[in-house]
Amino acid sequence: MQDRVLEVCAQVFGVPASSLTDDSSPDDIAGWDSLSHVQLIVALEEAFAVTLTPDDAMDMLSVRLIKLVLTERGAGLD
Amino acid sequence: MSVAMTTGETIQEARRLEQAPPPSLRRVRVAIVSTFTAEFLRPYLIVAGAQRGLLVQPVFGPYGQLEQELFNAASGALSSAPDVVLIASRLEDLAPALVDHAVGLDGRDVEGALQQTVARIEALALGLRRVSTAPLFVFNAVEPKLLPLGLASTLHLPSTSAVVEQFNAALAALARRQTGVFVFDVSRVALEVGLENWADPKLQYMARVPYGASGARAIAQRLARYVRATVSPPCKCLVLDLDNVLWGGVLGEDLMAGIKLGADYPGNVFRAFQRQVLALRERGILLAIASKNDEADARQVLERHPDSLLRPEHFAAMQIHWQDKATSLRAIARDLNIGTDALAFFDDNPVERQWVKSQLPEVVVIAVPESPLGYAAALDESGAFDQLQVIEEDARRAAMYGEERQREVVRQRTPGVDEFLHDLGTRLRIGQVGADVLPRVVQLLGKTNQFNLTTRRHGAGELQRLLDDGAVAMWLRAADRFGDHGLVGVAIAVPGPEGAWRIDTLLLSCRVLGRRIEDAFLATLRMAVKSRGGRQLIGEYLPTAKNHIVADFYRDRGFEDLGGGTWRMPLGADASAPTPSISVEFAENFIMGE
Amino acid sequence: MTDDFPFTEGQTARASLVIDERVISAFAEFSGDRNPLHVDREAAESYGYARQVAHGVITLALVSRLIGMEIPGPGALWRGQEIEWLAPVFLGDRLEVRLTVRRASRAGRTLVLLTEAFNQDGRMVMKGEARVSVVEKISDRREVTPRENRVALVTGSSRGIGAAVALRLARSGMAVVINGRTMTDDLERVSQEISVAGGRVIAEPCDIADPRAVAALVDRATRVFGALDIVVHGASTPISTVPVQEVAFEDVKTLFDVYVGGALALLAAAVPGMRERKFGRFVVLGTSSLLGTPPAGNAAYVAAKSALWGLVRASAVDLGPHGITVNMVSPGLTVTQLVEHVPARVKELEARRSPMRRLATPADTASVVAFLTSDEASYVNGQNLPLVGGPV
Repeated sequence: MQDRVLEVCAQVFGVPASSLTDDSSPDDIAGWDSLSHVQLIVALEEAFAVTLTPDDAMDMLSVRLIKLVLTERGAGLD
Repeated sequence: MSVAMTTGETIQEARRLEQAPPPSLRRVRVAIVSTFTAEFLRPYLIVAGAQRGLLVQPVFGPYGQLEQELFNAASGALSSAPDVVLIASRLEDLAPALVDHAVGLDGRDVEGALQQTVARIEALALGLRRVSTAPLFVFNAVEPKLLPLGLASTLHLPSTSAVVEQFNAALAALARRQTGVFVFDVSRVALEVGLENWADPKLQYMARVPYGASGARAIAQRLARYVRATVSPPCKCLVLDLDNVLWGGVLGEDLMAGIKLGADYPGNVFRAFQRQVLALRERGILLAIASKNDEADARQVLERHPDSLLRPEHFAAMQIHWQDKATSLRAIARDLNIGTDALAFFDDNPVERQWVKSQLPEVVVIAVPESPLGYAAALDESGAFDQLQVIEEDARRAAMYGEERQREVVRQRTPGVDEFLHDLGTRLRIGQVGADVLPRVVQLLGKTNQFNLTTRRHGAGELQRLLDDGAVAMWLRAADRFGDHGLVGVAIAVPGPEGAWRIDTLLLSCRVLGRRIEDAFLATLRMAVKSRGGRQLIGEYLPTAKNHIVADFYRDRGFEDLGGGTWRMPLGADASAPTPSISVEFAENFIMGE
Repeated sequence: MTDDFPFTEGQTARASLVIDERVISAFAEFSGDRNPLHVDREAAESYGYARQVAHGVITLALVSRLIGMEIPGPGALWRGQEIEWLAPVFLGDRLEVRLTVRRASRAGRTLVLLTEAFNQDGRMVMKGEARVSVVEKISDRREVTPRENRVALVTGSSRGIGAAVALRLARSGMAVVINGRTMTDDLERVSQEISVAGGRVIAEPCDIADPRAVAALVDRATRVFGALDIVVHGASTPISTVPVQEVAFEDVKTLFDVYVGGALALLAAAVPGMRERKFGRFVVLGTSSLLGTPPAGNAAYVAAKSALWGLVRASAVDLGPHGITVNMVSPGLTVTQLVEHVPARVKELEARRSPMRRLATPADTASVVAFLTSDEASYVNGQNLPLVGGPV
């Protein structure tokens, strides 16, 4: 799961996956704005076959949080 | 279409297309004004466009600012000089009361609110027309997922469903009334996707995004077809293989008795496909056959098979032999007097498809799936015959090709051109271009390649502007004893300094060439310009890959060569009357000046 | 901010010591090593040495001094030593020890030091290598120097925020009474850490919910250190997450007894002495739940802390005239054992939502408490200081 989270983020935000860490957040990724956040939610739902709640969507404020939320939603950990 | 990409891949691919656009893609600027966060559509639209050969460059206005964006040529959406303008609206946003409280309104309230909403869209279209000539697409309304009246919806008036239906009908009427305005049938897209998968309430309420990924993807794919239909004409002819296309099995092996075509599976699948092909013909698409078969056997199936819906007379051309199919397609194009780029090729054999692609890259080769159950969808999905409006001439076209074969018989029998024309009994009717014929005129401007001196592809908006500026624009209809050709000619002349009128456009549909109709048309144009005080006509020939047949048109008609493809003819007292062998009649609206 | 790891390879420090009778006898005294070779000249002669031989470990004492005071200095933790004595050191010798930094790892906060000792003739008598860690300071270096040595009592200081506060106050020179409900290893460790750093400390386990025990605690503090100037009330009992309809009043009472009951008992016992000296500082631990939207399922906790906040406001009014301030510090979610049960997602979310993009640390609270208990904070009274990394 770890790598696929980075891959989806890289696709949505237009940055190399290698530049992303667990701490990556809207603070340091210029392309992470309100529209791309919506795209991110949709892309994650597709990639991990999960349904996210509005709270999940709002809580995904960093790569680490994305992983924590996805784990809670039952997305498989490698 | 192709394998669906995930949203992540779509976003990445869209970014790649924007950063390094493949040169093969045709650039189309699409301005989108909306009542919601339409930007969500952006990557899906760019990718769907690329799959249709387009480099879509969407420009979004801020949501909820329809008038501000469309009434001002310098607005964010319009300043990019868009090729296409889109109003992405939802009835829920335009008239919330109609959707949310239709039940509580009386019939008059509903009527009033609907009129008001449609009037607003009409005002938007007219406002846009003042600053842009780009065609305008307007989203129609989608039924909400939940109906306030539930089960009782169908019997109650007014109901939400009825309101949506009325609105869509009124919007379609508006589009028929206003040239250059079209309906984007998002309602149909929603039906295809299904309301269950259409919206994601989370996106709707958190971000004003009324569609989820599957909705957005489907809208984008359909929109790409509309956009492509705007910038390029549909294919004129569908070239079909026979074995395992129009029937199941191989005729040479299974013989007529053994091929699958009939009321039961799998014959019913092929019969249904034939029905779809026939429907294409009914809206004016020519049909042709390119098959490796014994011609006599194949013809026998078409003539005699009790369950074949397609008969020999439905085909405008047939190439049934053992030569390669690229050769067949070239022959078909020649027979029908159309370009090979106007052909769509439907063959179940991937080797044949690949061969045609390699030999004739301009032919639209349809991606035919293995299972015949997918044929119908593949044919539709190809978009090869997408057109925004089917008009009377389209519907008659296939029949007219049949008439053409009879004329050919007369031509071969008659020794001289004048006699031939006389025998044909050609009758012309010429009138002034008005709103009634605008769609057909714009269609001709858009697709006439051969007899077209300037190949200026004016849209409705530009044409209206020329008329407003005092241009003379004439249409020409032709008929003969074998049938009516419909509206087949357009001439436009615009006034210039010192009584010099420039012939902006002079074109004739290729199916009426070689009958001196062009001489009659030019003569009428000269009279019309002279009657408006014109002292000379300036003709231009702008060469393209296809219009060489008119390279010497003005020279042959006594125009003086000014160089650079420009020609002049003074309009003296002798401005001649139309050719005597052709009868010319003028429509009531045709005014020859004071 | 100054670099707290300013070490480079090749850097050296030296110290010297004349090995006289006093040095040798002092070492023999506390170590019990009275080997005649070291302490008896004649015996030394009988072993073939002209003079008494110094204890080898005395050389190491100088190494210890250099590590503790020079390189790396305060904060040093001497983790290992390789050693080889090359020649004896005799009574009357002048011993010089030299440290040289061989490797400095900023990431690991460790040093490898070459340790060498020479006698007055320049002969190398000892050679070895030391491994040293540099412990990070819990609080910032800025010291708030009290006007005189204050005495502070910190309830609930066996770990977490309370422990950080106790260490911080000790570092600024206060005598500290630390407290937990019972005597635990944790409490013992805090006590040791303070005394190792040279601070004055007593560890006094007691149940803060018991007013008589609190009175005795204050009494003992006063008797040991002569006064009690500062009380920091951080004691708590474990908190669980329960929906409000399942909260029994007993649950609230348990917390109420510790927070409010404890505070009242502390005030009752400590205020008389503070009034006499016209100086006193009460700081109680609040929570950011008092400021913004509380997390779900925390009714008992929030109710009890809210009551405590009421007590702070009211007692600030009563005690201000006597030079006594009463304040509350309300940190956001702080990484301590008390919040071990909080899910990782909640902690991370809290951190991302803070403008400083991190959770509060015990040190954040400790430094604010250090300020509020100092003389400089004499005009801050009845306040609840939010420690949430941004505006409330």
